[in-house]
Amino acid sequence: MKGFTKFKKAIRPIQSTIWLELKLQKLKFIIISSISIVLFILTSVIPYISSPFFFLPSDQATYMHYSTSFYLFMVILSTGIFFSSIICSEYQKKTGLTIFPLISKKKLIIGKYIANYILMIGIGVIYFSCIGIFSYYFYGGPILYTIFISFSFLALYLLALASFTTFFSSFMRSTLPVFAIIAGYLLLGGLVIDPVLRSLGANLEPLYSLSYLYSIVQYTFYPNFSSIERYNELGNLWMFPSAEGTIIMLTIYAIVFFLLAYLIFRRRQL
Amino acid sequence: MIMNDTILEIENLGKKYGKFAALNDFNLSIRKGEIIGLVGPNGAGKTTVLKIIARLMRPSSGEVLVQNLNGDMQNIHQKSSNLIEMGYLIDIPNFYNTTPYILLRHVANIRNYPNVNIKSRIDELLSHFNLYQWKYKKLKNFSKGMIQKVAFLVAIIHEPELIILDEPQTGLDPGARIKIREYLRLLQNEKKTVLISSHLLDELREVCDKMALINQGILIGFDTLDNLERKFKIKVIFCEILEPIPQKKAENVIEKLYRNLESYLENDMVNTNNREEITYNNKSKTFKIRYDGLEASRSEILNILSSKFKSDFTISSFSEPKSSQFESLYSQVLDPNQNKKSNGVE
Repeated sequence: MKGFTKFKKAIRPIQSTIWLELKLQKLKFIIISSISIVLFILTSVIPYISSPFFFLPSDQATYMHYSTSFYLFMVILSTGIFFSSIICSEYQKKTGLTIFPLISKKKLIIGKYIANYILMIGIGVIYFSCIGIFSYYFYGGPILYTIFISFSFLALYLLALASFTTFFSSFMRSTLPVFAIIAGYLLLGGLVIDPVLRSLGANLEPLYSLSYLYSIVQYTFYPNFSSIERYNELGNLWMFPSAEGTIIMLTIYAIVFFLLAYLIFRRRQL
Repeated sequence: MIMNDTILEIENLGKKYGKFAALNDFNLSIRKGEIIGLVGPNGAGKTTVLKIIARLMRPSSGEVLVQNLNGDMQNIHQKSSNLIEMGYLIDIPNFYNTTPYILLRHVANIRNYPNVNIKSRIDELLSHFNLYQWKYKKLKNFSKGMIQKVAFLVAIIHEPELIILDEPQTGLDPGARIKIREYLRLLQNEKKTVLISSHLLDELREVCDKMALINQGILIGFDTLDNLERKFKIKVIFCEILEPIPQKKAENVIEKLYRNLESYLENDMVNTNNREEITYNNKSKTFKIRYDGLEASRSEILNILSSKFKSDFTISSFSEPKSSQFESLYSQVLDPNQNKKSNGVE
């Protein structure tokens, strides 16, 4: 009983931080959710209904695969908005002067991290719900069960990306450069780094690349995912990572960068 | 169990930024129930001391010990959840853009204040400080004074034992200042301990039991206000002359004065790097002479001035400050502008 009371006391600051962060980020959540719905309708509904140049994919899995192509932009946008300010804003806006003496930095970062992760997952749920609803609308039931597998990988991917962004936020002065680094790395990093490394070792699978790891979210919609050839010899190109490799790499990303972020944050002074 | 009476102990605290020492061997001991004023000019090191106590900054040397729940003293930078409750208002407050109610509730929660009392505590404090009607308004719409009041509430919402306040009355109107002063007295009655820094010396005089005088990172006095005034009693003679003296000549006259009055001059002033016992103000045509305070010295100085300086100037009058007011104490002891005159001529 004493241990439980102690646990409750230890957890209460984290709970309160989560609630406060959810309240503070509410408006951003509504805006990004709306944008993601609009993006989905513009890229995965309207073209198939109104454009004569777009043909509806022959099966649900392919429809879902295509629908998540543009979602990477939403992932970058939401990570940037929710996580790039997670630590540096306390220094930039000097809110840390009030809050740091009252709560341990460990509890503060855990609370804020969980809250923002919940919001990112929320946006993911909305987007994947749209995918499910319109799959049903276009193809009829039942909706492919693989949507849940894909969503699980998305959840892990968001965790890794959140830690990666938190790491940059832990030592940078302001939000905007963190956002720029994350967006630049995910959108352009693959285009620059991957070809260079590929030229060094022809068959090196780019498991280090977060943009490459995202492709598993798209491919796991296919029920025969595990039997699809992952390496395209004609294009000399890796199409998507294995489930095991992805889980290991994303977990490493999530843990290592979160720990690094915490260690830097702990030492950083106002 | 024997409870230690000391609640905060600062030992040999030092803080360096590169080669610049913001704090140097700073020592202070505060007992439970005391209200201590930390006084010093801008850049004296007040906020640095408070930031180190608030764990916003690590010291370069020394340590800060705070009483823990067992009554022992413990280094605040050691990992522990066992320290007495502390409340803080550090520097210029900046808050998340939320309402006072949500902010105060959050602070109470993270300090594990009893859940059932939070709402009534918030209402009581907001009402006391005339902020109740602003309870659910966003803080971004608040004036500077209102933000300062909310910052004070953040520091005390969880009923801490030790409260650290950095210039809490900045931007407040007189009514709000009175409210804060009254509340500090209330805290004193409840045996709470307060360390408060301020430039508003009269406000500090009203509430503080003791004053810690800090200048250039060094504690130069820590005592009750009466004792400090006694210690740094102003021992000055003003000698007004009929005709102003040109600067070059004034410097020579000051040199001559030093030679003749050396044995009667004050020699226990804190800032002794530059000679400043004798200064001349050309505008008021007055020499200001700080002496050792002895009656005999005073008479002798007047004799020497009257007899040996006839060729240098004609004395119009002698005078002395009537009393050692606190403001004078501040300007005499702490104000660097008062203390840094390289050649003694203003």
